Amino acid sequence: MIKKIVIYLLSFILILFGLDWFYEKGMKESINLKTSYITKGNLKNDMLIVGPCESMFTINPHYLDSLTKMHSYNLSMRHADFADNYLHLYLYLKNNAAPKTILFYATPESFDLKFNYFHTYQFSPWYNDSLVQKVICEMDSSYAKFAFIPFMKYAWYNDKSNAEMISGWKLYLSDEEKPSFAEGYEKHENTMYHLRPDGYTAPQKILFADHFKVETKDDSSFYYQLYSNQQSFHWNKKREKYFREILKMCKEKGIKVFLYESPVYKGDVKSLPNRKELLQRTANIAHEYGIEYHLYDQTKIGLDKNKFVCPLITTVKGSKEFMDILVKDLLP
Amino acid sequence: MNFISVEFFACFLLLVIVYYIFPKWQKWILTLASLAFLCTFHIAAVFIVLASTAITLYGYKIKIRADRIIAVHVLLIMLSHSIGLETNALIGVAFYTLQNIAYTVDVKNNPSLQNINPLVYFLNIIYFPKLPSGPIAENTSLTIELEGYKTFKQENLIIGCNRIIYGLFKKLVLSERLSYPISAIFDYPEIHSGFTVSTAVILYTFRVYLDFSAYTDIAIGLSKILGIELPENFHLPLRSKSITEYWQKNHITLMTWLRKYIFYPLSYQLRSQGKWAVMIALLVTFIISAYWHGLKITFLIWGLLHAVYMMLESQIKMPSFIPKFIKNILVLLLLSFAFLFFRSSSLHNATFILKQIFSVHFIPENWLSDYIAILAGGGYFEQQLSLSITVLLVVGTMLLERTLETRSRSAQFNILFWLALSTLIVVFGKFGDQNPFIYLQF
Repeated sequence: MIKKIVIYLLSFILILFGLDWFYEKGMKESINLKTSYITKGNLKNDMLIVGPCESMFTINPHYLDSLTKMHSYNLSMRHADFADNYLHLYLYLKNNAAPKTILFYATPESFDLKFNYFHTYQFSPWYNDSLVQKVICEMDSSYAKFAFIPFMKYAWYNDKSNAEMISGWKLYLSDEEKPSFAEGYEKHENTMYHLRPDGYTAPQKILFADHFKVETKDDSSFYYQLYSNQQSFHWNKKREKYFREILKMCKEKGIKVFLYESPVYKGDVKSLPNRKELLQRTANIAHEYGIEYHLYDQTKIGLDKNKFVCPLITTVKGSKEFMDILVKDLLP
Repeated sequence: MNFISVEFFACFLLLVIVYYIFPKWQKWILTLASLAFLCTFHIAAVFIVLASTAITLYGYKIKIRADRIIAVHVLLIMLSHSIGLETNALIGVAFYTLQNIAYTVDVKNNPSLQNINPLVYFLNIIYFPKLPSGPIAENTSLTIELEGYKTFKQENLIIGCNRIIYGLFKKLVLSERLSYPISAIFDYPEIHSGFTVSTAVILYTFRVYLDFSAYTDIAIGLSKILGIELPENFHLPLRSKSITEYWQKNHITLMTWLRKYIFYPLSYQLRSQGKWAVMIALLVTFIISAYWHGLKITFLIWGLLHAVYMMLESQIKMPSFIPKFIKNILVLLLLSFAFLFFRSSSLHNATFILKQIFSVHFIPENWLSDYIAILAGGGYFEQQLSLSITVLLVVGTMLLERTLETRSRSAQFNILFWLALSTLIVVFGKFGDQNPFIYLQF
């Protein structure tokens, strides 16, 4: 009996180490994951766009480059909080040449825990990096508690890592070198997300049903309401910490930070009681690092609901108009 | 403290060592461990269980009538239903109350039983593997189990561990993976096609069984390691060919209790009514079973439906030419129909689900976006892959259930069984924020 148990234990440990290697290799090859793509190295960009989905859907590097004559990459991530942004930026800078400018998006909800979160699984293959480990320990302590066990860092969020691992091996075996969204930008189709270029098929009726009110606009496209009436934001200290870390890291590396908030649909943000207060608080922190906070909530775009897919994200047309304005402030 | 936490298993390991090193103190060690376990839920839980047991043990001695003692216990269950179990102060109340009522009735019929050792009886009530959700052990058999000293047996350890790993697989992999599609649809029934909603209802039938039997496997396994036998609660119920068979194989200990203390005495009392006696006794038994689950109208409908199923089965025999698997599917559909009410948050919610099932839009317009993407929680590759894995694992387990059950109850250490289950747990299990066991709410 003891012999059998020992054989089992040895075999299981061997399986865990095998899986650990297999998943690490697979995930690192999954270049549709931005962490995997940027850690491949050799990216040369003059400008990086950093932020959550607002900046990912709004800033099209291709169009921006045509205006700035620079080369940029959109490093923003859907639902990413500042700690997530921080680690993405850290891994980018560790593996690639530093850009001249960072276009960094922040809005009051970026400081509120109700919105966005930290995607631990994206950093699993780099867990041995001391800074990555330190941030994960702070952001996801229950994960970190078990991450020392072979394979547990992939097992914890296996729904995500299983798919990324398979996708990575598929890309590796097919010698694919370009991700689905080569510039990191995803076009917001302003439809119910059906059959997007990356093969996403949305659940037709449940999309956002649990927290967003969906309404049809004049041009029959859709608009997602993000906020309940009179919703106020709650400032989170941890969010502030990583916001500062990003600014600090850029300052240390001599990277210029262009901190901004893209146009917002005025009709829906005017009822938010402490929005102005939080904008001011953000501006004050930025000021400590010698950075100006650029707001575009007074532009004409903000008056036209048809140029928005939600209070914070502009349509492709609205985004283009915004970039035309943005570039005037961005270029010296 | 959660049964499936690392902290719990670390404490349990410590307990096992101490338990076997000091055999003379086993009862005290178990009592203290059970009290500590209870305290992790809520300190008040200790006082409630103490009061409840004290009334049971000493009520008879101080001349409180048995029906009054029972009334106190019934009130305790009512209290748990009305204030809810969120505070954890009434953890396991529905289970230990049944044992206390059983003792009160048994003592009334046989006063010599009151000479029981109070410590053993108290331990019998608060014994931690069964405290939160059963199995409901018969007082006499468990008391005998708890008497005497236990010596360490390798066989018990192997059987116990086999049961625990199988329970963990059912909970962390199957039950947890099924929970998302079910709640996604039950929360918004009005926006889905009838077929989608029906799928969720059927999945729920599987989930309740997998979740509750997972808990029971772990409880029995833990107890086995301590050398104490707990009664079995399930015996492949979803393979039943009739509702009557289902109730002989599902939540066996509750049904045994209900038969012994409600159904048989009532049938006997009503024997003058002829065949109606059984019908009425069935109806009352299932109403009490529904009430035991909660005071909601949806539980009552669930109970009534089962009573009706059983009454019909007692009158109409299913033709023998119908293949067994058709009977099995029919039973699954009937169970799912009843579980629709059991799961619904309100009668309004249940009505909505029923409307959807029987609406003209039964078939989804677009299978990918109206069915697959909804069950998967989205249309990304990762979500569709996850759903496919869930379906494969549940179907695979149900097909291999008999073999898995046999292996999990065996005294042999099967390397393949252990490697398969532990690998499946780490690759497909849910870690972190698991849902509590469904039967912890009762």
